[in-house]
Amino acid sequence: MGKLSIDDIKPGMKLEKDVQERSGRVLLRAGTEITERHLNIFRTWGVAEVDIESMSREEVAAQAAREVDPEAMLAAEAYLDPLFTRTDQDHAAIRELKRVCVLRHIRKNKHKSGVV
Amino acid sequence: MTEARDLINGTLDIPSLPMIFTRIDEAVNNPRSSLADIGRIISEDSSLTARLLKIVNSALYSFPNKIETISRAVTVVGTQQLRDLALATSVMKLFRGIPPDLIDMEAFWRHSIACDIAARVLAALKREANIERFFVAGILHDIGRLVLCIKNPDWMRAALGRCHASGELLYAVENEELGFDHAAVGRVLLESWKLPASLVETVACHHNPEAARRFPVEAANVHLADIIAHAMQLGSSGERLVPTLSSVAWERTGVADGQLAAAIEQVDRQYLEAVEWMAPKGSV
Repeated sequence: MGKLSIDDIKPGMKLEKDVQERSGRVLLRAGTEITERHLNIFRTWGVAEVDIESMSREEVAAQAAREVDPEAMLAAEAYLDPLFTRTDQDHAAIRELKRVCVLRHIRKNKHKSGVV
Repeated sequence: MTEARDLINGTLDIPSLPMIFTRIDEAVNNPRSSLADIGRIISEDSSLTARLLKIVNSALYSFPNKIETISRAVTVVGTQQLRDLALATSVMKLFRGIPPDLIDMEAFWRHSIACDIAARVLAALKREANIERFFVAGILHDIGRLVLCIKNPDWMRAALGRCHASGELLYAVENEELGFDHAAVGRVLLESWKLPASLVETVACHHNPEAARRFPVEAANVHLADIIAHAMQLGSSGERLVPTLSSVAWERTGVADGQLAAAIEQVDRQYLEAVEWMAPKGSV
């Protein structure tokens, strides 16, 4: 995936390369799964960008799902399910379309209730 | 049982295309007419001029500079595209007097615009040339349903009620009860208006894209765009459910499922502004 700004990194992403501070000392090894604590360390040592391993679509999807309140997820699925009854839900494209629409629905509802 | 053709040829009036469109079309197809000629014809109709300038200055085109005149629009947008835009906006003005309990016209055009935007976004994903050729197909894909509403409002009211109760797809009920669906009616209408074969087939096959012989990719594109517009619940064509995806058409679009999220984000971004320009509240 390449370089990402510290601000765009989410806990759970993996380092593709070692992270070094300016003098060359290694702060964190490649392959480490980044946690909130690591992000603080990067900020302390002035590391602005790190190399992140690319994720498969399943990993990205799983990550997006983890960030969503499970109750909101269930409610959005219950709302959208009837819409998709007449199309093949085993088709990969329909599954993806539905997944994206569920997340979109949750996002829209959040905006409506003013909690961004 | 009547056929789609009889519905169009029947006694009730189906609107014909405005003269101005026919004149623009003739000028565009006439190698001897100049850009200035085409601009002059459009300028005769001030309301058409205003609508076209709105659209070419909208997010659909996002030109860096404001286009102030039709002659400039003809140069920048091109004659064929401007003709297509004139067609889309003329048709949107044509259908009036449909009982609002059957179809909310504002919602109908919103669905059409959403499908149109989705069709362009999909085409752009694949870096198709001339993505504007999808414009009219998206806007007009459900036009046959308006004809059904005008010709047979009682039947349509019953069909909507049946779908509401049973959770069936409206176009499936159309096919079952009438022997044809709104897409077939759209074909007959567009043929009677002498519109290009690519447009006719794309509209005719948007629920049955496998039947498209001459323009399979265009038909598949609008088929998928319609499904996306339904899944996003932008506007309403009377159909309340997401239509069935044809896996053959899906393969033909060449879109990867991983691209859908980005496509939907783009449709959301373009939709609001497009609707504001083309079908603002209370305009239809």
